[in-house]
Amino acid sequence: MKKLLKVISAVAALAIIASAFVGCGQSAQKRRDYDGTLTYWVHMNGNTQNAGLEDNSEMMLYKEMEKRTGVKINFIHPAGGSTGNEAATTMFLDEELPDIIEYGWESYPGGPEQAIEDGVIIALDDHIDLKTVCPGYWQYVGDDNPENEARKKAVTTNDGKFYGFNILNIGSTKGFAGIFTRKDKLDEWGMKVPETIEDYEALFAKAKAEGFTKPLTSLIGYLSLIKGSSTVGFSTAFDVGSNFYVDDINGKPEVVFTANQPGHVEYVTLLKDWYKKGYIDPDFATVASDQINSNMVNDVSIVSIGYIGSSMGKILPAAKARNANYELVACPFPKNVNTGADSEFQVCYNAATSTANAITYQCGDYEAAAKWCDYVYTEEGMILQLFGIEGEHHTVQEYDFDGDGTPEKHYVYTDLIAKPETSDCNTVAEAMYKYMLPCNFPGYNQHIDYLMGYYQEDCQKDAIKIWNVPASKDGTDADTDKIDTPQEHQLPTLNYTKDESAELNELKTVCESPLEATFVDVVMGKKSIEDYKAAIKTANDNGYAKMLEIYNAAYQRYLAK
Amino acid sequence: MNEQSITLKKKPNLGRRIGDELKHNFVLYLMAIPVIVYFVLFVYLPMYGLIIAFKDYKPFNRMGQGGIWGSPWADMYGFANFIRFFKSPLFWPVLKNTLYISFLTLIFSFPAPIIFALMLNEIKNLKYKKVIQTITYLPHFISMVVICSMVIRFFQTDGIMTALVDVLGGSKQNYMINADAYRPIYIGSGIWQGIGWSSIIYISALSSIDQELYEAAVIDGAGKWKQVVHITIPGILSTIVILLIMNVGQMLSVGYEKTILLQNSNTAEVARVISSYTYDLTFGTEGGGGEFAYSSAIGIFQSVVNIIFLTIANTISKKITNSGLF
Repeated sequence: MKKLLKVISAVAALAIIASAFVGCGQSAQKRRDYDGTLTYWVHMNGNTQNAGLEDNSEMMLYKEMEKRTGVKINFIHPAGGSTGNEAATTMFLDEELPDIIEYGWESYPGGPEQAIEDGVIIALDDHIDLKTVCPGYWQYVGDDNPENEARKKAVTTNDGKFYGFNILNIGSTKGFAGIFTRKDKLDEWGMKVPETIEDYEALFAKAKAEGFTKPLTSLIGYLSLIKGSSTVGFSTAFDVGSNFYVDDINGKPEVVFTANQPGHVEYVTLLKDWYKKGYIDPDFATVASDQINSNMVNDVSIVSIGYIGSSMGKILPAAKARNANYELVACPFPKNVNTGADSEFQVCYNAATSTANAITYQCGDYEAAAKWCDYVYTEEGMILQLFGIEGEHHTVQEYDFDGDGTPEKHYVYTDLIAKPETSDCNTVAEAMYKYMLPCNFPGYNQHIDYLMGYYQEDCQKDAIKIWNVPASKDGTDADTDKIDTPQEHQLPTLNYTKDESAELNELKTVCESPLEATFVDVVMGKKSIEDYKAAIKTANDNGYAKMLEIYNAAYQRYLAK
Repeated sequence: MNEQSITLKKKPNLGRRIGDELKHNFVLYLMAIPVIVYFVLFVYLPMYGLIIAFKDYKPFNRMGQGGIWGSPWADMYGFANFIRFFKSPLFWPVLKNTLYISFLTLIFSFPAPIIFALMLNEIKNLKYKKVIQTITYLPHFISMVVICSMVIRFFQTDGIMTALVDVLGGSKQNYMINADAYRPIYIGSGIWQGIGWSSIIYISALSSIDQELYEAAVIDGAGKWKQVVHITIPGILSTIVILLIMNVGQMLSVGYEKTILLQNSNTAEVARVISSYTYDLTFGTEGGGGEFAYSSAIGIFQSVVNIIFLTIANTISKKITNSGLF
C-alpha cells in the first residue's frame, strides 16, 4: 500500500511539473509592439531556391520594396516549398504567429471565416478603411466598380469581409492547359489541327499506322483528363465539364457533378472504344508526367493533354535536340458531337484564388502591414513585382499586340531574364524568380507581358490564344443569365464551414476511389458500361449526393454575398 | 511487527540503497543524465498532448480560449473522437488492411533476412560474401520516394518486372492498378529494400556462435542441415525472438509513406491503412484537414492495440522460449 502511494505521489508530482510547463500558454494572446519590422511567413518558390537564394530577403524585389516603403521584413519560409501545407497546419497551433501569413485560406479547416473566428487573422474591414489605406488593392476589388464583382466575391468571407490580399488573376488570359499534338507530323500527313472527335480518331488511326504505339498519353481519370486538376479535354465534346462545376439547372445556376451529367457516360464509352482500338496509353491510370513527356519526345505518342509551361515547355527543348523539325501545336477544345458548336468549357483560372497575405491578430500595427501588402497592387508595385526595375530588368516598348491597329505599352524583359545565363541561371523561370515574383504570389497575376516573356516558343504563345475561349462567341456575353461560357462554368472559390470541410474530406475518401477504380476497369474493357452506371449510383449514395449538397449550399452563400 | 524488523534488517531503506548505488556507480549515472533528460523533455513531457484526443480541439484564439488545455472536453465523456472512428465507414477496411499487411510482413518479410543471413553464413569465399552484402544493403539507402517511383515504373505495362512476370507465365498488364497485385508488390519491394540491412544483426549474431560446436558436430557425423537446425538456429534464437516481439509490437503501425506513394484509386481499397487515413485527415488539402483531435484519437487507439499485441507476444515467448523483452 505504501509503495502504491509513493508511485501515485511521484506521478502526481510529475504531472504538476508538466502542467507548469504548459500552463504558461493559458493567458490571452497579446499584440506585439511594432518597431518598423514585420515577420512574413511565405513559401519560397522552387525557382528562387534553384537560382541560389537562401531567403527572399536577398531578392531584388524585397530589397527595393524596403527602400520604397521603409518597412523591414523578416522572412519565415516553411520547409516543403509551395506544398508546405503540413508546415502551415502545424504553424497555426503555435501561440506566437508571424505578422503576415501567405496561405491558401480555403484549406484552413472552416475557411477564412474560421481563421478569423479562431483569432488567427483579422477581418481587414474591422480595423482599417481599405479604400483609403489600400487604394491599390481597392481598385481591383472595391465595390465602386461593377467589373470587380467576381473578384470581390472570391476574396471575401460569406459575410462580405476582406480577409487578406489575394492572388488576383487580372490578366486577360484565363487558360493554361489543354490538348496538344505534333504540328510537324500533321503537315507531313496532310492533316489539319483536329477540332472534332472524328478528326482525333482519324489522327489516332494514322499515327497508329505510322508506328506511334500509344497515340494518346495522359493521366486520365473520370473527373478530368489530368487527375488532380480541373482539366477538361475530350469531355467537352459531350457538353460535360470536369469534377464539380456550375451549370444551368431549370434556368438557375447550380453546382453539378461531372459523372451525373447526361453526356458523361457517352464520353466514357468513347474512351472505352479508343482504348480497345489501342489509341490510349495502357498506363493511363498511373503514368507520371515525365513518362508522358518522354512518350511525346520519342514518337510513342502523338496527342497529350497538359500545360503550356510544364508540358509543352519541357517537351519541346528535349525533342528539338533529337529532331530539329519537331513542332507542337495547341488544339482547340473539341466541338460538340451533336451540334458542332464550339466548346463551352476550357481550363480556367478563377478571378482570384484564396491564396492571400493575411494579417494576424498579433501583428502590432495593422495599418502598416496592410499598406505594405497593398504596395504590390499599386501600378508602381505591380511593375516592380512582375517586371523589376526599368532599364535593368525590363524595357518599356510600344507595339500592337491585341491587333486593334494602335500600339499599346508593353513590358519586355531584358537579357538578364531572357538570356538566363547572364544571371547565372539555367532557365528563364529561375532568372525571373531570382529578382521578382511574377506569378503565384499575392498580387497582380497572369499579366500578358509576363506570359510572353515566360513562354519561349511560338507554339506556346499561340496556345495562350487557342486555349483562351472568349467570354462568348462575339467577345461580349450578351445573355448574362445563361451559363454558357468557360468562365461561368468554373466553380468559384467557395467558403465551407468547419463541419462541411470535415465532411467533404471524409466523403471524398470514401466515394472517390471506388468510382475511379470502376472507371479504369470500364475503359480497359474489364467491366461494362452498365457496371459503370451502377458504380455512379453507388458513389452518389455513398457520398457524392451529399457532397453536391454541400457544394451547392456553399455556392448559394457565394451568390448571396 | 517482528517480521517487518527482519525485512528491514535484510534490506536497508530505499533512500539509503539509492545513495549507495549512486556512490558506487556515480560515473555511470552521470553518463545517463543526457539520455534521461532527452526522454523526459522529448518523450514524456510531450505526452500531455495526448489529452487532445479526448477534447473538442480548437486552436488558440485571441480570448485565450482553445489550445490543448483550453478546449472543451469532447462529447460522450471525452470519447467522441474514438466513437467517430469506430463508426466511420472506413474503420473496418483500414483496420483489416493494416492487420493484413502486418501479418504478411511477419510471415514473409520477417524470416527473409534470417534465411538470407543463414545462406550468407555458408558462403566460404569472403570476397564474394562482402560483394553480395554490399549490393543487398544498397536499396536501404535509397529514399522511399525514389524506391516507390521505381517500383511503379517496374510494374507498369512496359516495366522490367512486368516483362519478367510475362516470361514466367503471367500476363502483360499494368500491375500497379491490379488490386490483387498490390500486397505482393508492397511486401516484395519491402523485402528487396530491407533484406540486406535487416540481415546485419543476424550476421553479427551468427559470428558469435562458437566454432568448436560445429567441429564437434562434424565429428558426431552431423550434415550441413543438422548443423543449421541444431547449432546455428538455436545460436541466434534469442535475437530472432526479440526482433519478433518488437515486430509484433508494431502490428498496427504500417507506415503511411509507402502506402501513399504506391496506392492509386484502383488499389486504394486494399492499400489504405490506419496511418495513411490519419495522414489524410490531418493534412488533407482539399477543403479539409486539420483534424488534430480525431487523428490523435486514432493514434492512441493504434498504440493501445500495439501494446496489447506486444504484451501477448512477450508472454507467449516467455512461456515457450524462456526469453522475452521484459
